[in-house]
Amino acid sequence: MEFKLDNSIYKLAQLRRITFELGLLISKIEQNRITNDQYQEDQANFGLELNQLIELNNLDRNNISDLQKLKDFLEQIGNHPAVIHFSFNQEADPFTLQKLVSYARENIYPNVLITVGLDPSIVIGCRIRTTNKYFDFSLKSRLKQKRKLLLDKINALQGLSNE
Amino acid sequence: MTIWWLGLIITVLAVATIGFLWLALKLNAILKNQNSITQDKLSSSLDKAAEKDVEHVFNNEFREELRNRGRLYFEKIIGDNAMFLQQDLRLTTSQLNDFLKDQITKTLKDEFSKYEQSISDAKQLAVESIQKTLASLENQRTELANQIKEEVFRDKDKLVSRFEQHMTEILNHYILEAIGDQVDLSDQLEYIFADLEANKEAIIEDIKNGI
Repeated sequence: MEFKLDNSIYKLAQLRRITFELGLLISKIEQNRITNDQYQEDQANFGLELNQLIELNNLDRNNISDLQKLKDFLEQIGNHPAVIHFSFNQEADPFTLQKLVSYARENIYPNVLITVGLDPSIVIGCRIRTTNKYFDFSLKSRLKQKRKLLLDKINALQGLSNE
Repeated sequence: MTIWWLGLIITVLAVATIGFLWLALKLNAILKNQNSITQDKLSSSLDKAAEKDVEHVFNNEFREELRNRGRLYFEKIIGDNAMFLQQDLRLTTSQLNDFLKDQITKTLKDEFSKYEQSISDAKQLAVESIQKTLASLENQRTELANQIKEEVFRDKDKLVSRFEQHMTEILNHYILEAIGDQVDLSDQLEYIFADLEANKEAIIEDIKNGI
């Protein structure tokens, strides 16, 4: 069974919290089964994100087996998380983060998680850190790469002004 | 024999001549004595006769007249001499004045000419010294100007090279200061996605290796 991770769930802590909540839900259902009480759906007791996740994967809330599989899926991600750390020069709003997460999961890795940091020296762009690598997508790095072009342009302008 | 006779004759003649001369001198002396005695007698008699007649000729009035004449003459001579002396004195004084004037003028002229010469020498020295000073100042100014020019060029080159070395940081800082707070993160997403797309393979590989 293939599960999908909701784009609103992008932090490892978030994932672990949801995993814990899911575990609570499963144990609640099992308890009710043992005591032969009807499990009363009480969505208010669990987070929005968990509910969204269950709905996204079209799972039956009362089906323990599906829920357990979902939990295993979440635990597997949590035990070996694929994390990309993004550094921006300002606080990223949730909307932007969701877009970023959506792109990363579509193009890079399906269940990637992200962490966000602040780096005021980045004007435009970002810096990315994966497990073993570091990528500089900032304007500074781009300017460094195109430095020779800029110098050539300046020298050309200087030559014109001297004439 | 002949020589003997000749010598003898000559000797005799000489002796005779000497004797004759002695005799003549003796006689002359005797005659002189006699004449002087005669003249003395004559003059004494004349003196006596003159003394007798003097009183007759040179009486008191005559003497007084002579004294007066002598006085007048003496005064005249004194006056003439005084006049001559005065003239001479005046002449001498004027000559002395002229001489002093000339001497003083000459001395003053010499001194002034020396003074003028020393002033012109001093002026010449001063001018030369000023010219030397000006020349050295000009050299120093030129040297200083060249040094300053070199310093300025060196500083300019240093600044330019520092700018070139740190151009990226400068531009980055400038853009950050200029528009850092105006660029929204959502506006940058396209730029970020483009970079992510460009480095997708490397990112994916590293993530898979990490997992």
